[in-house]
Amino acid sequence: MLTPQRKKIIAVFLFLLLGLSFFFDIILGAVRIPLGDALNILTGSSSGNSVWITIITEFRIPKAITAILAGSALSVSGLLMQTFFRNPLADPFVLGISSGASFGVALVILTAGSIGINLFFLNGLLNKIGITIAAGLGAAVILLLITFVSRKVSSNITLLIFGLMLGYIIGALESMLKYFSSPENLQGYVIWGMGNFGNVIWSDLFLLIPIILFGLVVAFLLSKPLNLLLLGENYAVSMGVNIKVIRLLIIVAVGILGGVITAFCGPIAFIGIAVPHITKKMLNEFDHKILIPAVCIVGSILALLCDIISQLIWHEQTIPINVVTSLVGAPVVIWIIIQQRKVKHSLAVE
Amino acid sequence: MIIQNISAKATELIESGKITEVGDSYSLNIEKVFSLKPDILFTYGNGNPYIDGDKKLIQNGIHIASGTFHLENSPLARAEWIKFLAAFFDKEKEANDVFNGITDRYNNLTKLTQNISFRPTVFTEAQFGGVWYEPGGNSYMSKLLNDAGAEYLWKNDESTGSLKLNYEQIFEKAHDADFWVNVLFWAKRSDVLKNDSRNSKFKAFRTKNIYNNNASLNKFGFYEYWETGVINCDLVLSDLIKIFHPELLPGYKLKYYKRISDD
Repeated sequence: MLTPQRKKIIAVFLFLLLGLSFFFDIILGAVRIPLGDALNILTGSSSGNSVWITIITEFRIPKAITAILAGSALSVSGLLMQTFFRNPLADPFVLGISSGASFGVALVILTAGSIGINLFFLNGLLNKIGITIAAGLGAAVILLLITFVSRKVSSNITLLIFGLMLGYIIGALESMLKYFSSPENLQGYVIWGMGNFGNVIWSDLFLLIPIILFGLVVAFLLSKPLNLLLLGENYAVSMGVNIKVIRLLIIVAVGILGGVITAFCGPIAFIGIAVPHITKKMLNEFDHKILIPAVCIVGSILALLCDIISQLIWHEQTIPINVVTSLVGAPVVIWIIIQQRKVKHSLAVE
Repeated sequence: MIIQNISAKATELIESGKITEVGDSYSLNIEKVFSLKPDILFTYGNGNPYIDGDKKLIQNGIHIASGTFHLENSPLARAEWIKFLAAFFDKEKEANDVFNGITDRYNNLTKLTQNISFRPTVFTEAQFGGVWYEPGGNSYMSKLLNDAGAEYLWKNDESTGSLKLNYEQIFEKAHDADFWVNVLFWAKRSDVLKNDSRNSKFKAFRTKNIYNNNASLNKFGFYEYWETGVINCDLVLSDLIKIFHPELLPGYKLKYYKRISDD
């Protein structure tokens, strides 16, 4: 265990890093804005270049806030799933929850206009709410399926493979939908499907922030039963945990957090799996009361850093966010698989 | 000689069964092509029939001719590919006549804008999947816009393909542009906002100077611009001149382009 002193130091360091990465995500971007001007705009004392003001206030600040929301939501849903399934490899992306959310969105966007009820989803904010509901439902359905299968299979790797295969099946169904949809709808879907923090605008944030906060609060309130779950389901039940209610609440929380972020940003790879492991390793901590806020901070930092890297210009071009998160996250997964035995031990699994 | 009504003619042939579908640009139905036993199969790609066509078809005696008109960097060079097609039908003379007509009309139109004093600024396309593909400064689109008497904002770029830019790069350069053309599938102002509500911050949106090439659609809802716009590049140019400098072509009616409507 780390001493309380060292934990304080780590906490201060993380908050500093969070502040810095938020700041640099706003300062750095495809358009070069001199530091002095950027600072003036941020402090509101600028009367100068109005284009730069728009770029910072309408593009970069919403994008940075979205990165924080996405980093927190995905990391917390990854943490919940890892504890719930007692599987270090669980996360919304790997186990097909994102695919489920994608499929929900695909159904809404790609069949728009061809089914009467979808007309409801077509315009403006209604469109966003429709997509959000569809993604949340898609995520929850897959999560229920995975939960059901997890009762039947004992091996973590088997569940992982099941999730991957489920992802492929959903991907195939999605391709079929794409094949038969109109070019206009397809275009709408392709735009969404790339994974991007930059498409979220202020009016979306008014919807996104309360939903994500709600999901995070639900997750935090589950800390105690989650801690007990770490010691095994039977133990948790013997300690008075109503496992059915807790299971439902976890599914709701992951559905909201994973599904809604997928609805607004598209599928974002590997943040959900990598962050809980990095955080646990760093803090050597297993209490969810501490872990949940901690993965929020580490997840936000990672998402912001990935966004900064993706925005840096390589020959006048930016790289997709998922390329960066995969390069960062996939090695973590490989490391987990190699360390499986140790991780199992440290998670008190089996 | 002007190429007209290709679209109507093709529609007619499709309905009478003389033209049949053999797949889309990404997946050719090889068995169907083979069973039709064509004398020649025209494809497009990078110009290498072994890559652009299917090896099995070639091995089984199907002749493949692959064109690269889409890689040409000027509108006239694209239209000139009519000569390539004509050569297979012994119609070189007609093709030359058609192309000379296009060239004359095109060059006469560019004379109208050559010494023009005011060149409105223009940018194109829209954000797609987080990326904004903007034609390079040496592309045919850049040439077309400049020939139409506009100042294309990326004309000094040296690439011939598309630039992959992001929204803030476009916004910095084009927020004040006078015109915005070739905008995906948009037809109404609400389409512009649905793509991204920040699109309203462009001057061209406020001044209602957004034009798209979807004025004429064929029976199946596809853009005639993509069917006949390549060969009728003089008409495309006329459209653009009419948009940028209406006084130069009084009485001319837009064929391919129309203004984004107020819902």
